[in-house]
Amino acid sequence: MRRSVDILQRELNSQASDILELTAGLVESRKSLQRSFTALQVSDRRWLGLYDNTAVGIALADRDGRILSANPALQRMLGYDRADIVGVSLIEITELSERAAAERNVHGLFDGELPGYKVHKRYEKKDGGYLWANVCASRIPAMAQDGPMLAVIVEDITLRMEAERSLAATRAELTRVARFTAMGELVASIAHEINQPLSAVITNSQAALRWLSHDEPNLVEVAAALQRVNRDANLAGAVISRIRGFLRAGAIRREPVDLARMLSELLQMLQVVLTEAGVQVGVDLPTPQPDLIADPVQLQQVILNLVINAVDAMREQSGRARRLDIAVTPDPAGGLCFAVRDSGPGIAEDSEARLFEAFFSTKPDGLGMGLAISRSIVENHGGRLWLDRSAGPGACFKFTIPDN
Amino acid sequence: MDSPEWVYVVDDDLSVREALSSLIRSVGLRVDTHPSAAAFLEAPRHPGVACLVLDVRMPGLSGLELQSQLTRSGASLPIIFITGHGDIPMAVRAMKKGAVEFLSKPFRDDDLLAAIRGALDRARCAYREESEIDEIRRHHALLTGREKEVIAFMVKGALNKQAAAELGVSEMTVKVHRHNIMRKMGVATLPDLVRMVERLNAAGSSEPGRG
Repeated sequence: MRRSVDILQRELNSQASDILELTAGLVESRKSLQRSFTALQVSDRRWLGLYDNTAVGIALADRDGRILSANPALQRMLGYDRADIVGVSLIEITELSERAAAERNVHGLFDGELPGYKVHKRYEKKDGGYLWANVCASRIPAMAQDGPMLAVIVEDITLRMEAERSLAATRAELTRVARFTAMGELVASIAHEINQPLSAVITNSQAALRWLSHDEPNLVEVAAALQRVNRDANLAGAVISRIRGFLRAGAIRREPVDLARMLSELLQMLQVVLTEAGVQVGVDLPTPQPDLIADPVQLQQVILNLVINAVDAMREQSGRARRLDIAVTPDPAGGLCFAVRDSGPGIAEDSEARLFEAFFSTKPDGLGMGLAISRSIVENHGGRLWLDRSAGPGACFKFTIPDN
Repeated sequence: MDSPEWVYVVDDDLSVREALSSLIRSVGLRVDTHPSAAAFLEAPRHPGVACLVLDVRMPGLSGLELQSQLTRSGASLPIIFITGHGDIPMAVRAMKKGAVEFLSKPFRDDDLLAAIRGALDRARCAYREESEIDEIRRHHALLTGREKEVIAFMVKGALNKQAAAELGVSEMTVKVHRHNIMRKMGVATLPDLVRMVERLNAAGSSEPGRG
């Protein structure tokens, strides 16, 4: 009896100690649970704090680019409040010319076909204004009951872009003024050089008439005056030949041109102008890249002139999308044929004949030198520059650069 | 006019110089051409009535600078400006400084010749004026020191008595001086004398100078 009580007692003791151990374990694991819960809370709070207080905009979005949630910074940037920003589609508020690209990107990313991407574009704000943004998007894989989502980080670069744009505008204006001044001076000096012999011709012929009208005409003086008329008229003619020579002249360099690189440099240079005017640019180059021997600077100048003309022509146009296409194709006669086509109003028939004349311009403040210089550059390369009427609507200028 | 009238032409452009020379000679005037303002200033001047046809813009001394220089030296040479640049502010400046005409090249021969005639008329008047002043100066130079003192009282309208008192001589002596003054200056009445002295004062003390 005594023994069995002892056994029972021991058993009880052992159980108590087990319970104690278990309880200790329980307490321990509860503590650990508490610790990790606190850690989770801390971590959660930190993330939330970051999300709420950072200067960059953060959004979670679905496959249609619709915002599921957006942090206060993004709400501020786009001009929405916490509630009404939900459901706004990041694709639909992308500016028109970039919208198709935005849709491709969002779908591609969501469906796992694209890795994350970074773009540089404008969003339309709630009030109709624009937000220049650096946008960085990545995919969040599906988790538990949530499907995959897009994380979109938006940096507001409006101020920087505006500064750049006003800098570019100032620079462009400066260039224009400098060019205008230089041209103005050139024109004034040409005018003076021609005017001098011309007024001498007029005075000499009037003098000759007066010598003739004397009672006894002085034929020696008449002959001398007429000889001077002849000489001075030739002098004026020589001035004009010299100007023609000047437009033709300029030794050209001949070196291999990396076509793709040259065009992308050019378009980069023009990016602000093109974006500002809302022009979409398409470039079509033959593959593999053909060999081209030309003067790269002069060639760039020709394309630049044609692109600027195209953009200027489309600036006033509303309704239709503004589109510029640069296409390079092999020329049947050897060498390459470049085409610069715009979706603008085209060239009026009555100005076509004078289009390539120096000092002829259809722009209110145009100098009328762009096409004249372009044509002489192309002709210096042995090619041709013309307006292709068959490729309307809009204007299409083509030029060839033959093989050497 | 007995002495011939001259037209100076200063222009850096040979064609213009030759053409102007022929045109101006065809109407019976004499021409003297120079390729620059400096050459014109160095060359001897023809005596008598003359005018200047002057290009505005020239290398070296410009037409406007030559005009200023001529004005400063007191030469009365009417100027017709010709210019290849229709520069209005420049024309205004030239006209303000007394140019006769400002013509843009090319100009009509009639316009230039009319301007030249106008300029020569002006030169002729100035020439006559200067000749007369010279004449007065010559008369004035004959006066003695005392007579010059008396003439100052006469011009002020002082009585003989006052002049005599001031100069410390008798009234009779003043009367004799007055008589001699009228004779030497070649005038009959006091108003004539006053006018003469005024012209002399207006012309200043500059020496008779032309040619």
